[in-house]
Formats: sequence, structure tokens, C-alpha cells
Amino acid sequence: MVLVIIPAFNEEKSIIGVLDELHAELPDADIVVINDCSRDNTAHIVRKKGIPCLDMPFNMGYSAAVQCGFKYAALKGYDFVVQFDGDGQHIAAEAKKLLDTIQQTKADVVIGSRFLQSSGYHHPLFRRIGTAIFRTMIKMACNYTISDPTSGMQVLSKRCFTELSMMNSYPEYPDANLIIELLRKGYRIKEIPVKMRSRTAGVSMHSGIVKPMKYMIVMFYSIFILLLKQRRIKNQKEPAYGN
Amino acid sequence: MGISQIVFIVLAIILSSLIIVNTVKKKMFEKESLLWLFSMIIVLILGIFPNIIIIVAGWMGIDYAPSLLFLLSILWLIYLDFRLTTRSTALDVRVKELAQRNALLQERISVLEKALEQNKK
Repeated sequence: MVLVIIPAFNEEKSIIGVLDELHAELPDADIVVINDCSRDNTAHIVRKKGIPCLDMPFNMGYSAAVQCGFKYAALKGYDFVVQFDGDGQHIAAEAKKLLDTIQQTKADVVIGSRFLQSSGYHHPLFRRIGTAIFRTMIKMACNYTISDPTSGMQVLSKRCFTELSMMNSYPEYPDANLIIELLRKGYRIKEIPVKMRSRTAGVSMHSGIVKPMKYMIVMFYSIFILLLKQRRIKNQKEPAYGN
Repeated sequence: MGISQIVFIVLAIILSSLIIVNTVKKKMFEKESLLWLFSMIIVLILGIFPNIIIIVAGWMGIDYAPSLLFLLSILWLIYLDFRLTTRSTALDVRVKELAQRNALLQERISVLEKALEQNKK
């Protein structure tokens, strides 16, 4: 059983197109939208289409919404979860390729990479620098190459999303730091090339100048802490915050 | 290097280690611990190069340089406290919201359970 999780914040302009595309390309997959306290009609539009919509009681951010999706998938017993954005950037046909790959290769995570092959995707300079730095950090920490560590289009196996759903320390920005953590815990991660569109509506969570700088600082620190943590903790159950 | 400088440096290293250990053990969120770590890095720099405070105090027309150190420390601690207070308020609001939703959901569940029982009869 496959579940597509779509974290959504103010995506009323693009969500119908996303849902229609998913229905066409993945007719057998269930879909759930996690409404992160949108102030527009996102939730109303999703419910009108008969899609389950989990309403977060307050705006908690992308990673909390994604983790909520993982909890839903674990509760309902799904086998695979497809992480899919609600802003129209992700292409449903490409998600199908990720699903086929995870089923054939028995990987735990399949990441859709914009950079394994030339896809015409426009990646701003600052983001390209960040991606290159994270690529290097993953290589140094795990001796493994991930060409697109910030890709939000991923498919996860039950084993993987179940663990992530229970993680008290699920990161605020689940990118390179989460990949490093999963690799060091022995999860099998694969990448395949995918095409993505540029954002058609809404605002990116990494827009502006301050947000990307804050993101980079938090990411570096998070990876540093992670490398320290995994040196002392091997196969131990993660303590809850505050204990 | 004087004894007070050495004490400053050792304290900064110990507290920085404490902050990192607490972050690794999940007693602090990474974003919050970064601020404390930044404070300790400043203490460490001032411990190694105490003349920085003397020079800056001179620019500001402060005769007794340690006063500037006290002033900056107090202002920084006020900022951290203010930040914690606003976070605590936001968390209180969220807890209240969750408690109210929980109460409403419990009521909905009990109504649904009664309806289910009546349907079974």
C-alpha cells in the first residue's frame, strides 16, 4: 500500500493541479494532505476533492507536517510513503519512477535527484553552493555520494518512515543531516534522476537572505552534533527531549 | 597571561562542552544551544584577547573597561531571557489550544461511541 503525503501551507493555487496529477499517475496510491495551518482555502479545496486532510492545530513548519504524515502512514499500516510537495514543483510521473525503483531495489529511501542528469532545472547560485557543501559533508561523513541532498521528493520504506515517525529529534530541516543519520544507521539510500518544475505559486521556505543563512548555520551545527552523537550512541534507543 | 584570563578561558571551554553535551543528549534544541554556544565563544575570545574590551570601552568613552563587559553581559542575558519569555508565552498558548481541542475531540468520540452502541442494538 502506498501513501502520498503532501505537506501544504497556503497552496490553494496549486493543490488542485497536484492532486489531479497524482490521481492520474498513481491511481492506486492513497493521498493525505497535511494542512500546516494554511490561511487560505487549501484545506477546503482538499476536502472537497474527498482527500483526507490532517489539520495541524498551529503552524509547525514543513518538517513537523512531514513527520505527521509519517505517523499517519505508520498508524494506517502503509508499506511506502511518497513525499510530494504541494506547490506544483514535483511531477507525479517522476514519483512513479521512485516507487518502481524502491520496489525493485529493496532500498529504504529513494531520492529523486535534480542533478544526476541535466534536467534544465534552475537552481539559484546560493542554493547550488549550499548543495555542493552538503554533498561534500555527506561524502566525508559517510563516504557516500548524494547528488541532491535537499530534494523533497523521496519515497521511504515502512522500516524507515516508521522510525522517523517516532523520532523526537526529527530535524527542523530534514536534509543532509537526516541523510547522514540514516546512512550511519545502516539504511539503504538510492538516488535516481528526476525532472522537477520551478515553483509556480506560493513562497519558498528558503526565500530571502536571512532564512537561507539561518538554514546553513543550523544545518552545519546539526551535522556536527549528529556526528558527535553517533560516536557515543550506537543502536541505543533515542531518549525523549528533556529526559 | 594572568590567572583571571586562564579562569575565563577554562570556564568558557567547560561551559561550551556542557552546552554541546546537553545538545547531544537532547536536553536542548540545537537552535537554542547555538545562542548559548555563541555566548561562550565570545567569552573565550575575550579571555584570549582581553584588550578588545579595553579598546571598545575607549571608543565608547567608558573609563573603566570592565563596566562595558558587565553592561554587555547584562544586555545579552536580558535578550536571552526575553526570548525565553516570548517562547514560553507561545508554548502556553499552544498547550491551551491542544487542551481545548482534546476536550472537544473527547466529546465527539463519546457521542460517536453512543451512536455506535445504539446502532448495534
